[in-house]
Amino acid sequence: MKFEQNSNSPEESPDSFASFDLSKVRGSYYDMLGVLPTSTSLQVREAYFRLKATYTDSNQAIYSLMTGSDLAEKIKAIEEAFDVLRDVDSRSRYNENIGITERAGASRTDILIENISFPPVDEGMRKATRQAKDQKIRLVAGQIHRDSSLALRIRSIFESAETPSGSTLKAMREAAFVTFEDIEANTKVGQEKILLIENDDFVKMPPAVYIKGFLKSILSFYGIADSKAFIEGYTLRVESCHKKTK
Amino acid sequence: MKQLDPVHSIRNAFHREFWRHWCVALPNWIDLDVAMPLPTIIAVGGGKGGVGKSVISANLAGKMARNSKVLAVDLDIGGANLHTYFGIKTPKLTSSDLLLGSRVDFHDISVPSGIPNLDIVCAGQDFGLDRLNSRAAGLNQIWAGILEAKTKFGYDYVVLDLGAGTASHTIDFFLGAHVGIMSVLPEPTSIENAYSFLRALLWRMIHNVGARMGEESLAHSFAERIFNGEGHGGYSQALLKLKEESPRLVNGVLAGLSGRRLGFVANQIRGQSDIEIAQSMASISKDFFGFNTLSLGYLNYDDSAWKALRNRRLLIQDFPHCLFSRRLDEVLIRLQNAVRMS
Repeated sequence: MKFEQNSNSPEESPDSFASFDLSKVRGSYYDMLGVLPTSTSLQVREAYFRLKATYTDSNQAIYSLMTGSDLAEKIKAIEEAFDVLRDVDSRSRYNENIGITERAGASRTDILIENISFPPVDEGMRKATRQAKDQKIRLVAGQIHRDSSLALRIRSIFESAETPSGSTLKAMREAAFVTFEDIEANTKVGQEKILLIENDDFVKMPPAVYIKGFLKSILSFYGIADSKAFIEGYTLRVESCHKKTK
Repeated sequence: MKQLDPVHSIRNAFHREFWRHWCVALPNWIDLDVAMPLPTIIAVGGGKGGVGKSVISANLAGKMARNSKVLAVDLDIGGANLHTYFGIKTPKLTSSDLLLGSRVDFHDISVPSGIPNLDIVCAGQDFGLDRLNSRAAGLNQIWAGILEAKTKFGYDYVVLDLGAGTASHTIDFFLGAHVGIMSVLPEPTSIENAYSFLRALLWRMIHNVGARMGEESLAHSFAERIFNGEGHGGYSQALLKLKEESPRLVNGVLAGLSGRRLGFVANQIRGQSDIEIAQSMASISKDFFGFNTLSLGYLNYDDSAWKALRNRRLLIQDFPHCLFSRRLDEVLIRLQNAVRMS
């Protein structure tokens, strides 16, 4: 069978999934920026900056295709399109003009973002909170020792653990109400290392020798001196995993 | 054409949905069966010589052959050297024998490449281009061989390594591909030639669609108007403006544009700023020419390329973990996604 030309076939376009009339978008500002009427204002912005970077004199890729005046014309058209689409009000007015009624204006998330008002920033407040945070970090280690009931609670969590695992350390951290930052500031163990230990993520861990040191300083931070058995048990698990995987 | 067996009648989504659009821009004299399962055809072109068309097609075919049966066809008639990348000598029978009208079949000229699942068809070294016109009977046989590669020989992919320049048969083979890969270097000369290649592609496409619809003279006048004057600042815009005059022809060209994909690969990347070039060119060509473009990524400038070539072995065999090979993996993933049209 020979190829049969059907005169109306090419009209079915691959992007017919869109919920609005594509023929109205063609030639519009949306088309100019390469976005859809359903795109968020962030997507419009991104498209604008990408196009601005593409159509510059310094871009190698336009060589031989466009001259100075073409380029200026193109940039002018892009600016014009972005000027209308960047603002929610002017965008919805434009939509009405070209006859896009569905989901008029920007998408819902856009409008929500526009309506959120952020409290004004008070420089004095910021400074005070920063100072308080610094002090807190310095105080934490002492606090645990001073508060005898807290120390007892942490101690009981530590002793109740049957096998040495990261979940014990997590429970201790939660009981003591300290953050990763606090532990890092006091023990010099990186936050990501603490997270690895708490999650028992042996594969990503550094060699067991390092883990030994980390555990020792973390546990001494919680005021636990007789931690030898726990550390031995934990490093044994790390080593056996590393042997299998590496 | 050969009668179908039911197993072969399953085509992938890309072929099923875009068959008509793909078909409309092919040369008029190619007969196609609607139900014929086609291999996925990938052409590597780029206009300028020395931009890495052969090295990309050889190594891409080598990588594809891990999962599927691949045929690499050297179509650089007169300047063939795809076989050298695989380290094999020019066989006795090449595609030049087909073109010259010797009594050989397409199957006779394909040779095993030394890589499992990958066969190649070599082109002759010394063949006068003057004896070739685009309707030569031999050329028709090469087309038939490529299109029947799935039904007759069971190839899933056909990789076409095109020659430099914008000869009409080169452009036609590029139009025949489902995904055309444009290899570009981040140099003005390469970029200039790439755009002139795209111009030739659009010019040829308009003519082919016109010939299919029996409106050759109208298509020619449209092409003349688009490329001389009216297309100033964007051929796709000029094309859309002509829609009122002949909606049927313009719709046909638009269908042809959307029925194949054009992927840009930036080759010999030496710095961070060069990486953007494929992305930039893809978005510009989509805007200016209206092609269905995508950026396939970039390939680093790598010494292993010439080292492997001097050893006369395939790059991905000699240096499987080099930067070029790893980047080519990324290109292949994007390419396969594009073929699935996902």
